[in-house]
Parts: sequence; C-alpha cells; structure tokens
Amino acid sequence: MTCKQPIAAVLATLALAASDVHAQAVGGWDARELTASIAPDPATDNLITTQTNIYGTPGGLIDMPTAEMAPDSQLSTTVSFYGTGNNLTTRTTLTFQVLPRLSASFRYSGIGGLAADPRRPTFSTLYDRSFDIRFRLLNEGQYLPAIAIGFQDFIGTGVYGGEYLVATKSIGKRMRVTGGIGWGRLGSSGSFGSTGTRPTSLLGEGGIPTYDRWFRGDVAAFGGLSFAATDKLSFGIEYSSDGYDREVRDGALIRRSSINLTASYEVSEALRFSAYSLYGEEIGAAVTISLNPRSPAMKGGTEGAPLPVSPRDAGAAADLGWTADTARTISAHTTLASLLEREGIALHGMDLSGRRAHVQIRNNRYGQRPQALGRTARAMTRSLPASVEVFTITQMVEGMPASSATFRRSDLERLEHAPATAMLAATNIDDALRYSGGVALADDAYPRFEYGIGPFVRFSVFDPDNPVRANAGVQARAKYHFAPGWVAAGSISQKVFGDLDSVALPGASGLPRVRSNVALYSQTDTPTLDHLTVTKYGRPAEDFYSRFTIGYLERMYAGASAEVLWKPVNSRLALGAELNYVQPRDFDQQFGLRSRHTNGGTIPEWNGHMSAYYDIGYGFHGQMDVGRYLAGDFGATIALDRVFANGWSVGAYATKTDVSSATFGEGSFDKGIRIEIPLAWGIGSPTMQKSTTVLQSLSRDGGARLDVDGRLYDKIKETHAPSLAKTWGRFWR
Amino acid sequence: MSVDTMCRSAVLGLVCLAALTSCSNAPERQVTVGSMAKSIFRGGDKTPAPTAQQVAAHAAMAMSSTDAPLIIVSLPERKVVAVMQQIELNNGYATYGTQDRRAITLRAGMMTATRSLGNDVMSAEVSAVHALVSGRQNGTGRRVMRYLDGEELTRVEVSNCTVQVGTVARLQLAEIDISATAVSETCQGDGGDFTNTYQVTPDGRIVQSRQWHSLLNRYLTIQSLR
Repeated sequence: MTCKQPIAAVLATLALAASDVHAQAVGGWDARELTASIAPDPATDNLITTQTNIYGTPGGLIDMPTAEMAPDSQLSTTVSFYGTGNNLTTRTTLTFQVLPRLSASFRYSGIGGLAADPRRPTFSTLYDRSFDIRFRLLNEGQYLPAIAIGFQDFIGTGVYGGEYLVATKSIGKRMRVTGGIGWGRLGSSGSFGSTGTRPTSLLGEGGIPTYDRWFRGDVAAFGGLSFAATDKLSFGIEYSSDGYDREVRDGALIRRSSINLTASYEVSEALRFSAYSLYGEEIGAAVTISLNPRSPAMKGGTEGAPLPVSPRDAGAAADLGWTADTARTISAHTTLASLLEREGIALHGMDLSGRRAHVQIRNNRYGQRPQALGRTARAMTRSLPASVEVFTITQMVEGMPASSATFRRSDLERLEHAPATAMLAATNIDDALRYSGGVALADDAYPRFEYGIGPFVRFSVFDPDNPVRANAGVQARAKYHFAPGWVAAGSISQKVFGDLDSVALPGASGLPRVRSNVALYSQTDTPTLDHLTVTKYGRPAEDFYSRFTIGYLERMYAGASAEVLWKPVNSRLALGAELNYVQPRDFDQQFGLRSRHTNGGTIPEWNGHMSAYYDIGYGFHGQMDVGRYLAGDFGATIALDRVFANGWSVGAYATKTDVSSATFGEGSFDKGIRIEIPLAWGIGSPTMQKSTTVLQSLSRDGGARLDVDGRLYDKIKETHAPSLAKTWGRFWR
Repeated sequence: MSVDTMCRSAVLGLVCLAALTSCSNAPERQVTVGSMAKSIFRGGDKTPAPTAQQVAAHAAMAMSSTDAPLIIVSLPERKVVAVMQQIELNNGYATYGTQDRRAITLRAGMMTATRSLGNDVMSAEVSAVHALVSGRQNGTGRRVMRYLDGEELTRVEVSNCTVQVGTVARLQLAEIDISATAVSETCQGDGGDFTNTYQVTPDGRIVQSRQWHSLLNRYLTIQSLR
C-alpha cells in the first residue's frame, strides 16, 4: 500500500503552520499527526474492476479468477445462482478490498444436488461457508501483465478449494486477457501435470486453513477474455479448468464443454447484473451490490453552515469590567447554551473567569469529534466577553471528562480561513482531569432521562440447516443519568414472531453450555428483560478510566463487571483489564437465575480479560484480548480492522482458547467478520448512530465472552488526540 | 431517485431498520425514517429554478431590510439562486449566509470557502491569483483549494492559473453602476481544468464573477448588489 503524502499538499498545508512552530511544540503534535487529516494521493488505477465473477470475487470472467482487483476499500455483495429445482446452487459472497492489492471474500453457498459423503449427515442442499483471498504480486506494466496469487475456499472443508497463479493484461482500454494455472478444483479438468498428492481428509473440525492441500495435486491451465463493449456493458468468455467432478458424479451438473460465457451490465456504481452460460448446459445469473466507504451520500455533508467566528474589536480584550457583573456572566452562559443547542451539543458545565473559559460539552451529533469542538469554539467567540482569551473544551462521555482541547481565541480568529491543520497545530489536547476543578454544572446536567421504543430484529445466519433465522419484536429502552458518572439503564423486549427457537442445540461437548443453548433463550413468548443495570463510570487518575456495572448484564448472564482502562490522551496504545462475576439467567429472561450446572459442566463464576488496543496507522486498528472466557477456557482473541476517518470499519477477529478443535465442534474455533457503517455516511448529515453487523460462526461454548454494555475503549477513543488528528478536517465544517 | 440512492437506501434500510423506525428522546438518536427518507429522496433536486422576477423581488426585499453587503449567488448546475447577506467579516474574509444555514466566504470577491452547498470548499489559498485579478494584470499564480473527500480527509487540490485581462465595459447591477474590466483565470491542476471570470472595478473590487466550486456543483456565479 502506498501511503506517501502528496508533497505539494503537505507543503501548501504546512505553509501556514510553519509560523506556529511554538504552538506545535506546545501542542505536542508530531508531523505525522499534523498531516493525518490530509488525504494521500489517490492510487493510480491499475487493472481495476467493479465487476465480480460468479464466485463474487473481482474479475470479468465467470468461474475462473483473474488478476484484477476492485477499487480500494470496495465492499461488494454478490448473490449468484445457477441450476434449477434440486440442483439450484446459490452463492452469496461478501468481498472486501482490504488493500489496493489484497482482496478477501467470505461466501455462503447452498449447493444443490450433491450426495452426502458416507458417514456424514444427509442433506438436500449443502450449506457451506468459504473464504478466499487473492494477492496481487505484480501490478500491470506497459508490457508485463498483472500477476496474482489466490486461495479459494482455503479454510475448512474446501468444497470449492483451489489455488491459482494468474496473469491479466489489458489490450487497449476495453479488452483484458487472462491466463493462469490452478490446483484443486482449478486443476480438475484438462490437467497437464501434478505436484504431489492432494489430501482429502479434514484438518481438525474444519475451520482451519487447509495448508496441507495448497498447490498440491493436478495442475491445469485456464484462460479467458473480457471485453467492455460500452462503459456499462461488458462480455466475457473463458476456458474453465474446473471439472465440477463432484457435481457431475452426483448428477447435479452436466459438463458438455469447458467454455463459459458472461454478459454483465452496470446499472450504477452500486448495482450490477450479470448473466452466465455455464459448461454448455446451465445458465446462471447474479446481482452485485457495491458500497465503498469512500463514496458517502454527500462529500463534506449537507448539515447547515456553522456560525462564523466573531472577531473581537481591537482593544476590546482589555475590558475586564464584566467580571464583577453577574448578569453578564449569566447571559454569556445562556447565550452559549442556546447557540450550542442548535448545533446538537449540550452545555454540561462551565468555569468562566476574566481571561479563561472552560466548558464541558456533551456532543450528541458529530461522529467526527473535531466538528463538535469547532462549533463549540465558534459559539464561544460569539457569546463570551472579549477579555476571555483561552478556551478549553472538555468532551464529557458518560459523565467522564474524556479529553480537553485548549486554544487561544486569537488563533481561532486568525486561522478561521486557514487550512484546518494550522488550527490543529495551535491546539493542545490534554487529559481532562487537569481541568476538572471549578466547573459549575448546568442545571440540566443531572438528572437526565432518555427513553426509546422501536422494533428489533435478531438474526442467526449461516446455520448449517437454514441460511437465515430471525426473531422480531418490539423493544423499549431507558437510561437515567442520575449523578455524575452514574447511569441506570434497562431494556425490555417482546418477541412478535420468529424462528430462532428452532436453532438446533449442538451435541454435548466437554464444555459447560455457556452460549450453545441460545435457542432456549429465544423460545419464550413473554416479555424479556434484555438488561437492567446500574453503572458507575469514573476517572480514578490521569490516563485512567473505570467502569463498574452491576445487575442483569445481558440476555444470558447477571452479575457484576469491573473494568479499568489506561489510555493517555496522546497515545495510540491503550491497555485494559476487565473482571466479571456471572450467574446464568433463567431462559425466560425475567428476574430469575438458574443453576450454573449444565450437562457439559459448571459455568464458572469468574471470567475476565486483559486487553491491548493499538491504532497501527495506515488505516488499521488492532486489538488483543487475553484471558479466561465464559466456559473457563483460557485463550486470546485477535482482531484487526481497517478503519476509516468517516467511521467505517471492516475487520475480522479470531479467538483460540485451550479448548481442542474436537471439543469446540464445527469450525474448530470462534471467528467472525464485523462491519460498522456510520449512518451519517448514508444520510449525508451528522449523527453518532452506527450500524454494526457481525457475521460470526455459530454460537459455541469455547471462546465466548460476556456481552456487557459500555466498554470503555470504544466510549473514549474518538475523543483522544490520534482520532482527533485524523478527523481534524472537520474542525471548521 | 437514482439507482444509486435506491441501493443505498435498500442496504441502509436492511442494516438500520431497527434504528430508524424507533422513536426516542435520546439526543444522540434523532435519525428517523423521516430524515432518512428526506436524504434519500433529495437526490434529484427537482425544485424549479426561481424566475428572474422572484430573484429580483427577493433582492429588493433584502436591500430594503438591511444595510449589510448583499450578493446573489447561483449554482446553475443545481438550479439554485439565493440572495445572501454578509454576516461576518474576519480579517478580510467576508462570510455571507442565508436563513437556511448555507454560507459562502469571499476574500475581496474571490470565493475561499462554502458551507452546506455540498462538496464544500473548506478553505482556499488565492492571494497570488487575487493580486493579479484585482490589479488587472496578466500573469500566472498558484491556487490551492481544500475539500473533504469521501472519507472525511482533507483533499488538497493545487492548480496553476493564468490570469488574462480582457475588455472594459459598463456594468450595472442594482446599486452598482460602473465601468468594469473582464478578467479571466484559467487553471489546470489536481482538480481538473476550469476557468473563472471576473468583472473588476477600477479600484480592484470584484463585483461579478463566475468561479469554479467543485466537481459536484461546478461553477458558482456571484454578483454584488452593493
């Protein structure tokens, strides 16, 4: 990945900042942080396509891969099918362009017409999950083709398993030629040689990489040609080296020819339809929906303009007469509160003196926190007496002062029309505890009561028997902030309809049933108490944050949860510790508890983790949790996410504990994909609401964690210096 | 409604159904079906352009109700015309605003920032070209315009611009009646090619102009009313 800064851009942007060297030193920003909010030069397109093949991976052919890549960070979902009746096969594939040269896909297939292996359960449709990755070794040059290496269905049972080396070259603007060699499925027809013997036995309980098979067995050549007739319509033809051996053996497909054809039409950037002719016998079709975190509803947003900075008249700053006048102090407070209110910001508290003002705010609107700071700062220039020169704004999160930004009013006046980075250089971000004294809370700071009612949907997907199950109903929620840092929260749901209760209970394992009996929690038709807790958030010391939660913590567990987080305001690294005491709740999710003894063993009362969080840079964020999981198993979870300044995040996690694959069951260990989409991206105006989707393996007992609300890192991370620096372009928005 | 927005709405519809149909008093959860639909259906911007008479009436009303500097801004691409009043002057940067919270900032007549027009110019560096334009001199200068990209990062677009002085002609605009010089500024750079045109008074003031804004809005035309 190329991440060089555009030199001209940096120079242009820092031209002004250069005169603020003293401020830089005060602010403690390094060059990397000062330019974090500047977009790097866009990568030049190198054999990019928005088309996907019938497997949902980027490429203009049908069954065969190419060396093409999707645009960076493209997230596409392709639903394809071929065959009819019992032989209908569908593939739903989610593909993410992780890096400009690396694409990863997750697929859920329903394969029709296959006979079950001996000694395996029978089925009418084989539901199968698969993962692919493709890495481009070489970009296309003037004469050389792009070359990529790929692994198809490389984890688990490997129904679609195959590896390949492929080269693609464009000829003119509209034609692309592809040739490659493949192993596994891609070496199963017309092979010209072989490299060893390809094992067929399953490693573990599935769910682990099939490294024993890679690049082994028969090798065959494949190739194809794609042609863009217009900007919207393209065609492809290929010679397939996939023999469809198992499908042919079981009569699910007749393979009359090795030639496949496709026509694909791009309706818009987001929508594409494709049609296929397969092996001279079948026809297929696909629809692809593509999203790109870099294509929001409106660049820069559509929210109303901020009020401009109100510059002071020369000499006005000397007037301190107002400090003796309570009426003027009160009026400054009232004006500021009302200016902030129309920006979706609540004035939580204030400390106003002759030369300095410290305000505490609750940001209810802006996902990019610098925008809340910028709007607050401008409202302060319009409401506070002219003698007030130093502004400090503290962001309050759950009653905790999370971080403080300090700047000079004269810098606001001077830099309003300069690049945002100049203001960043003149801003000092500190631990908010340094400013906590002397603040008078606003009358409406406490108590505050919030409630909401709405529908809920709870999904279970990728079940071996059924692709999607769901419960739907109505949920009512309430939160009562009754004193600084104290929150009482509760939620009640009523299921209206759904079939989650029919999720099969997996067979007994060597573990206590801590999660696998999820179906029993979905059977009740009476109202359920989703959680009912009292939480105290706090700041025990500089750099430290704490949370203590007690009550009905989540659907399955009651108890207490204590957490401490160390996160200096300028640090990219955070360390945390969490300790939980739990008792399993009754299946009806009312107030009762049930015995900790299950047929797999006794659920331990104590579990907990040590966590490390690190903002790696280059758009990546990593997390590692090590500790004791719900079933008493010890192990670690590693998560890696690609994060975007606009709040998008796409990532994956895996948990491995001391439970053996055999005990864990299907999948061998817990893993999943998580996608966070900020609603502001979709609607074009700011809101802190996000949609979070987690695609994970089935609920198993190994590697399971308590699902307590309010974990500290996610609450405060965005208010700290590294995140502020990255999104600082919004300060003056 | 374009297919794009349809897809966006379909996807968001699926992922946020629960969040959107809720009703809540929580201050940070105020996105509802209504606001979502509004944003999705806004796509086409089918509001008809105001007629010349409507704009004139609006301008006359604004002129009689305030002594502040006034401008008429139009976005031909989006068929929008608005009378804007100066609401703040900071260090030579004059910010004009409308009732519905759209704003534009001019430095001696050259646009340096906009807010809430979509694909906004966050800030701009125009001093080199401004010196040529207001001095009515031929020459070349550098211009920097900054935008927020799709990820909310600052996208810096640098252009090299050639300023050429044209003919002098009489110009009448509301309270303005003056002889003005036509000046053009032709730019090439990161953001593509564009040409701005200005009518400049003998004392160097830009009273009428057509200026490049962004790929989305293309050009703005700005006329001073005073």
